[in-house]
Amino acid sequence: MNAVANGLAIAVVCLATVLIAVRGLGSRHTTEDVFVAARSVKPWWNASAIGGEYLSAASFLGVVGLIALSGRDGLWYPVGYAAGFLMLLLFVAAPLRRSGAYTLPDFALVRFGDERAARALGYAVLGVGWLYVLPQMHGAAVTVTTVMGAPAWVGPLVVTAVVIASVVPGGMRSITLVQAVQYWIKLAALAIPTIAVALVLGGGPFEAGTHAAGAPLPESTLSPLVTVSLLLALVFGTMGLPHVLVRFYTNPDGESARRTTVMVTGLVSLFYLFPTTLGLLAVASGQAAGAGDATVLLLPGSVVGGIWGVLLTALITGGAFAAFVSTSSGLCIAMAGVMSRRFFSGSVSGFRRGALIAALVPGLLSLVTASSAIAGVIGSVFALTASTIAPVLLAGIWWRAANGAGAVAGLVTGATVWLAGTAATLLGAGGMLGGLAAQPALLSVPAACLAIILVSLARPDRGPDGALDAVMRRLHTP
Amino acid sequence: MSPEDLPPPAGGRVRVTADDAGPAPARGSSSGTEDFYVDQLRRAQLRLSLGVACGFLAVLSVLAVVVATWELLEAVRWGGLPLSWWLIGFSLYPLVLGAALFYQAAARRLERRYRRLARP
Repeated sequence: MNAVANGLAIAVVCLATVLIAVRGLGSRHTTEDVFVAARSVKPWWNASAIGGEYLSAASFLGVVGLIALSGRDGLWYPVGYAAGFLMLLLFVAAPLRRSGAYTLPDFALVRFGDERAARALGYAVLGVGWLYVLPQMHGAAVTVTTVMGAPAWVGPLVVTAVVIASVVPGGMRSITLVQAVQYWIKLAALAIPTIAVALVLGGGPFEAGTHAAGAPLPESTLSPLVTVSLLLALVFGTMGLPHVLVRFYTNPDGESARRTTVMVTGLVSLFYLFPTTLGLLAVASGQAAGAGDATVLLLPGSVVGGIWGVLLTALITGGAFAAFVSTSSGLCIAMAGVMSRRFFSGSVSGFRRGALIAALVPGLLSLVTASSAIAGVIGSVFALTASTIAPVLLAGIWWRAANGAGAVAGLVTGATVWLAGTAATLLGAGGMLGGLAAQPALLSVPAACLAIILVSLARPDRGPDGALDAVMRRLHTP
Repeated sequence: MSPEDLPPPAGGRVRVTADDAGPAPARGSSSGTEDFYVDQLRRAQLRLSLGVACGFLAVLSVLAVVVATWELLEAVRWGGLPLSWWLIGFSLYPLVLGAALFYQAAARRLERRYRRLARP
């Protein structure tokens, strides 16, 4: 009964995704359509689409799981995820749109006029993209085993198939509507169960002292310094996420890119109220304890029970799949854009080939890797983008002296420090340094910035006379 | 002193330079004066963005340190959960949104001023 209802929910979301994508195909398949939806997406649609794309497995499953697991530490994640859009608004949104580039490597070509910087940024997009899709696949695996008892590989298989079916034919134009609809599916799929759980518990768990009699609260283990490092990663990481950035190119102009970002900030903040509440309810009621990322899938069923419990679980399952599919397809578009422009001469058929490769690689990888706390893994990917793509964008947009050599140095330095931290964590480093190695942004972001500054100053390259002025005028004038 | 270093002319007036002021810039509309205004706009926007970002990050960092060190926030419980949890969980979203709206309005103001000055 439960497995059937949940399987149906997954099928409905996946079918709806493919159908909307195919319906959105229309008759036009120009390069502009496929890459940036002809730059004609209205702010409201674009904001919903960005929200839909951004709210991934980490937001949908991971936040509740982390709050249940580590209490106060977990509460910081959604705050950082939402605040990331503030930074994106402040430093990137309008200038990036005005740059007129299709992809991040194109931006590097426009701003630095440097082929090596474009190539390095392309590799950064691919690396970040695949690292980011992988946890989505793991989320799908956790979901199908938890709610259906199916083998883990079914989840990644379904997500990969839906992404290929919805992205490969129509690219950006067909996927924009899908993403926008999926934001609202995800919001409803978390808001309704949250309200139901809160009503059934009826303030019971929140009555003073109830919890004191039960199990102890999950302990916070992060020192303030490590918390600040984590927040730095989350806040600046959003700015460098390729699938979010690629959506800004679809706005008509800089001012509408800014308006879109403000709307996304509101939509994303609204969404995070629900996983936060659900996480607090899980801790306070002591139900579904120790379930980790599956907490959100199990809590409504165990609190509400009966037919309503089954329906609520099916609703959450559908929403979770919407999260995996939309984030994966967004990243797939960003990666396909880069691959096609770098390796397949920028054609529409190259985009499709790129999309196929972008979707298949993490699908296969997920079969041979193990899942761990999803929000934590995503936090680590945020640290990577915060120390590679984000500093290069910031320097390129705001600092006249930044150049291609500096950008390459920044990307390499940031990635190296991040990699060293991650390796140290995997080898089991402990203590204060171990904490910072697990959350390396506080070290890797300044290192990347320093590398950009030093190398740009050491090897000045202003390009042809007046070119820099022209680019700066384009980026910064309304 | 080159024309670029002078303050912008008052409203309704046009700056006139002498015939022997040298050849006009060869790059058409991308004159030195316009680049000067673009540079001013970029700097003003950057100052605004840095101000908002630093303010927000300062609040965030202070809260991170306060909740970790101030026992009272941990000891006072509301609904069975420490006060610090409620603070982190819900108090920051209005701040994020408020900062975003403030910045949007201020950035638009700067761009209006630029348009008035650079393209009369």
